Parts: sequence; structure tokens; C-alpha cells
Amino acid sequence: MQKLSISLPPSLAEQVRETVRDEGTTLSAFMVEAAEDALRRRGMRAALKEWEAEYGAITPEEAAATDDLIVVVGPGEVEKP
Amino acid sequence: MKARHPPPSGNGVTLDAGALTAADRGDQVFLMRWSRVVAQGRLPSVSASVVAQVWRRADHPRISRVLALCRVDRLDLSTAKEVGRLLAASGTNDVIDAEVVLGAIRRGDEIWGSDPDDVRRIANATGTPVQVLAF
Repeated sequence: MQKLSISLPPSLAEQVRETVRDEGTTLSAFMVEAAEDALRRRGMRAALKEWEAEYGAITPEEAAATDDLIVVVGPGEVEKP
Repeated sequence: MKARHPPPSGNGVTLDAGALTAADRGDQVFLMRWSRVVAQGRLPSVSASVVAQVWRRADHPRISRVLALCRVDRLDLSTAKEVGRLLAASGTNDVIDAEVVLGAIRRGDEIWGSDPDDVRRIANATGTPVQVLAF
């Protein structure tokens, strides 16, 4: 592990402390998860760009249309909102 | 087995074997759905057992690309027992299917690449509806 010193806006720092308290985790664990998730989201965008270069660009409308392909299974087979 | 988990809220996506093979062949629906969840900021998870179902060569570059971005579930003793109870409650016998559905329900994920009928039998036993995208 490496120790880093970071600065946060006061209101964000307070929200982080409150969340850490509520979830019974540690500040370090919270920041590790946040950093990992942020890096994964960047990686997902980068992968999409690579695939679009190979297979063609995907429009937001095409992406949104996949919502209609989702089926709900299980109790009541409830409708999507 | 009664519902012990919150209903799906679309937090993330859980990839089943069908999703990994769809990624491997550059399936258009996979790419479009991936684009959708990227825009929504949602994150993927996969069970290590699912990787074993599809991994047959030294490397699968496209699957590797996806796996590098996934949180990987590894079956621990407590979850293994819960999966076993879920198999009994659902009258099914596919350990990996039950593990995938249980993980997705815990996280509130939609599932990609599963057979909806298989998921339905397991979801019925949990009392929790699940969102599924089949390829």
C-alpha cells in the first residue's frame, strides 16, 4: 500500500466521512473502491471506443433501444418502469 | 426460500457465459448494451466459474478485455451454502446458474447472457424479480 495525501472540498469530505461511518468501512477502503470504480468506468469507455473503431459507431438511440430487449423474470414478472 | 434481498435497481450488470461468448464474437447487441451501460456509469461483474465455462484457448482477447473491467465473484463457503439452498428451493441443479442469479440479486444487477427460463426458476425461489438480456 502507498500513502497518498489528497484534498477534498469540505462538503464532499463530510459526505465521505458520513458514508464511511454509516457503512462501517474505512476511509482507505472507501477511497480504494472509488478509485477502482473510476478506473473501470474509464476502461469501459476506452474499450467501447476500440470496439466502435472495429465494428462501427453506436448511436445513443441504438444503445437506448436495447432497453426494450430486457425481460423481467421472476415473481409477478413485473413490468419495467 | 423467501426474498431476502432488495429487488433489482439496475445498479450494474452481471455477465453470464452467453455474454462473454457474445463479446468474443463481437455481437452487435452486446456492443450496443455495453454502450448503454457506459453512458449510465454502471459496472460489470462476473463469476470466476462463468469464465471457466467459456475459456477454451490460451487467450480470448475480447473476453480478456471485458474481464479486465469486471469485478470478479469468487464463491466463498457462506455463499456456496446459500447457492446450495437456492438449488434445493428452486428444484434446479446448475450451481453456476444459481451462483450467477444470487450474485445479481445481491447487487441489484441485470443479467446478460443467461437463459431467461433458467433464471426464472431460480428467481421464483428467491421471491425477487430479475432483469435479463439474452443473446
